[in-house]
Amino acid sequence: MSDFALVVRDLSIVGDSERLLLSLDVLTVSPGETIGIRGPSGAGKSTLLFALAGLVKVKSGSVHWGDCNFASLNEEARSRFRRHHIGMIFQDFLLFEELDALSNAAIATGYIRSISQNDLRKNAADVLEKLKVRDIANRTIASFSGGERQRVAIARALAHDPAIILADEPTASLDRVAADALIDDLVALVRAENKTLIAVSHDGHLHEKMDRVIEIVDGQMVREVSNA
Amino acid sequence: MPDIYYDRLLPLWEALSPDMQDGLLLLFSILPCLMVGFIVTRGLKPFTLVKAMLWQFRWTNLVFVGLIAVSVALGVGLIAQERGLRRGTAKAAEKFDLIIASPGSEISNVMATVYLQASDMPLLDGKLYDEIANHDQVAFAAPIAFGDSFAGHPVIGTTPEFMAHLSGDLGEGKAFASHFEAVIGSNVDLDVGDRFTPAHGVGDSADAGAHDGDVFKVVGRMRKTGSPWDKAILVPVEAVWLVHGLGTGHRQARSGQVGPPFDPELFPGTPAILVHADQLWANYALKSEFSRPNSMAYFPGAVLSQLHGLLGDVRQVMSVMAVITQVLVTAGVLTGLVILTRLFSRRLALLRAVGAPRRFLFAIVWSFAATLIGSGALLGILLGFATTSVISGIVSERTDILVEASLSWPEFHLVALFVSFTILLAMFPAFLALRRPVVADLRT
Repeated sequence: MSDFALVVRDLSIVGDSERLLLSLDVLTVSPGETIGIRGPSGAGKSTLLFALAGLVKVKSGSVHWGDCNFASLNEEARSRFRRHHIGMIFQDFLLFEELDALSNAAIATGYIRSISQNDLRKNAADVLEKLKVRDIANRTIASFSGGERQRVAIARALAHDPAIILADEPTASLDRVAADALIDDLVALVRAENKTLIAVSHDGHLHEKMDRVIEIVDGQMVREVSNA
Repeated sequence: MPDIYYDRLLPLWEALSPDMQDGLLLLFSILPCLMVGFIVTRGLKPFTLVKAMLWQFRWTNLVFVGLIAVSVALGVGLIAQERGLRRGTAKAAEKFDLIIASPGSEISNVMATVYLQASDMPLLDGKLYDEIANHDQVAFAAPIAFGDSFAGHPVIGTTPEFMAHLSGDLGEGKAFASHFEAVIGSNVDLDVGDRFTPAHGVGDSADAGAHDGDVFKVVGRMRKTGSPWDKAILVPVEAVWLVHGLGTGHRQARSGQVGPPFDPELFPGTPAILVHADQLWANYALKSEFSRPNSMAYFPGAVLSQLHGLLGDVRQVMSVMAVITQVLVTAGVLTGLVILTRLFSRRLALLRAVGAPRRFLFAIVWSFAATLIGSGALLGILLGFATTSVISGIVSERTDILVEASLSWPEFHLVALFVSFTILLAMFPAFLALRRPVVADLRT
C-alpha cells in the first residue's frame, strides 16, 4: 500500500496526423480508491489507461505519482515504474498457455530482482488462493475456463505487490455469472490490500462496485459519478 | 606487441599439446556466443518463457532445428568422410613401401597392385627382378602377380615374405609351403582345409574352366589388414606361373621350391615387384636407381598423396558449398525467426506492458534462437557422424578399404564457428522484436 495519489494534469495525447486522442484537465485518484472508466468505443478510455501505464507517448501534461512524473521519464524508467508499482489486467488475459497457473502468476520471477524469487512465487500462490484457484495452480492454462484464466491474470497483476492496478475490460471475455463473481472477488481483493484500481469497462456491474466512475467521450472527461 | 607475440605467446602456444591447442581453439571459437549469452541473460531467468515459446511452435521449431542439423551434418560429414577415406586408403597402402613396375600410369599401377583393381600390365623380366632382389639395400623383393580369381576374390601370386610382411602372424593355419597351397584374406568365404580352382581373369569375363585340374588347398588365413587384401587369396607366385604353363621360375632340381631366389633365365615375369628396404633412405636411392626407360619405381604413398591432394581440393570445394548451404539455411532460419517473433508479438508486448526490461525481451528472443541453433548444431553433429558411419560402412564393404568414421577437432571447430556466427546473428531478430509498438501489438 502506498500513500501516494495518482494525479493527472493537462494530459494531451495525439495519434497519427496529430489527431487528438485524449485531453484531460485533471484527474486525481487517491490511494486505495477504485475508479471505473466508461464511454463509447473509441472514446479514449484505453488510451487513458495506457497513458497511466506509461505505454503511450504523451504530447503534454503530467502523470504524477508522488514526486515522480512518469510521463516525463524515458522508456526504460517507465518500464521500471510499471515493474514495481503497476499491475495490469487485459480483456483476453494474455497468459502463456503452455505454463501452469502459478508460473503465469509468478511470471515476474524472470525479471524482477527487488523481490526474492521465493517471495514472489509465494505472493502469487497467496493471490491465487484468495481468488479461489489455488487448487488448479499447477495445471496448464490450456484447460482453464475464461473466469479461471482472468483470475490467474489478476494474480499475475498482484503478485509483485504493486500499488496501482490497471484493468482493461477485465470482464469483456466472460459470461455474466463468471464476470459478476470475478468483479466481486477483484474488488474485495484490491480493497483488502488497499490498492488503487482503475478499470476501463463497458460493464455496468463493474462500475456499480467502483468508488467512482468517470465517463469519457471523444477524448474528454464528460462526467464523474461517485458511488460512495 | 609483436615482440610479446613472438617471444612469449608463440612459444607458449607451441609448448601446448595438439589436443590442448585444439581445445583452446574450440573455446575461442565458441567464446563470443558464450559472452553474449552471459551478458544477455545475466540476472534474468528467461528460460521458463523460452521453453513455453519453444513448445508453442514446436513443429515449426523442429523444422528449423532439422534444417540447421542437415546443413551442419553436410559440413561435418564431408570433412569426416574425406578424412576417413584418406586414412583408410593410406592405411591400406602403408605396407607398400616401393613398387617397381613397367613404365605407365602410377595411379593405374597403384590401383592394381595396392587396391587389387585388376588391369592389364606389361611384365617385368627375370633379369630386372634378380637385380632388384640382390641389391644390397633390399631386404626382400616380392613379385605380385595378379589376373586370376576365385568367386570374386583376386588370386595373387607372391612370396611367403610378402605374406608375412602384409599380415604378420597368421590368424589361423600356416603359411603356404608348397605350390598349390593358399592363404586367404580375413574376409574370404573359405575355410582352412577347403579346396578351390581359380578362374582365369577377374569379374564377368573370368574363364572358370581355364585352370581345371589345378586345385589349391587353403592352409591358412591372414589377420585383418583393413585393406582390399582382406578379400584376396595369396598363393605362391610359382603356382600362378605353373597354372599358366610358364614353369616355376626355378631350375628343375629346385622345382618344388616356394619363394626366391628365382632363376633369372626361367623367371616368367611379373607385373609388379614390391620392394622393402630396411632403411628408409634406401627407398629413395632404390626409387632413383630403378626409374629407368624399361621400369618405373614409385612410392604408393606419394601417388596417394597426389590423389589425396585432389580429394582435398574436391573436399575444399564441397566444404565451401556446405558453408554456403549453412549460411543460406541460417539466413532462412533467421528470416523465419523474424517472422516467428511477429507471432510472439502479443506475448512480448504483454511482457513490456507489465514492466519487463527490454533486456529480458531481448534475452527471450535471443535464447529462443540460440536454443534452436544450438540444438540444430548438436543434432547435426550426430547426424553427420551417423551418415559418415553408414557411408564408411558401405565404402568399406565395397572396397575392403577400412574407412572408419570418426569425429575430430576440425568438425568441432567448424560447428563452433557456425554456432558462434549464427548466434551472434540471432541478435538481429532480438533487436527487431524490441522495436515493435507495444500498444498496437497488445490490441492485435
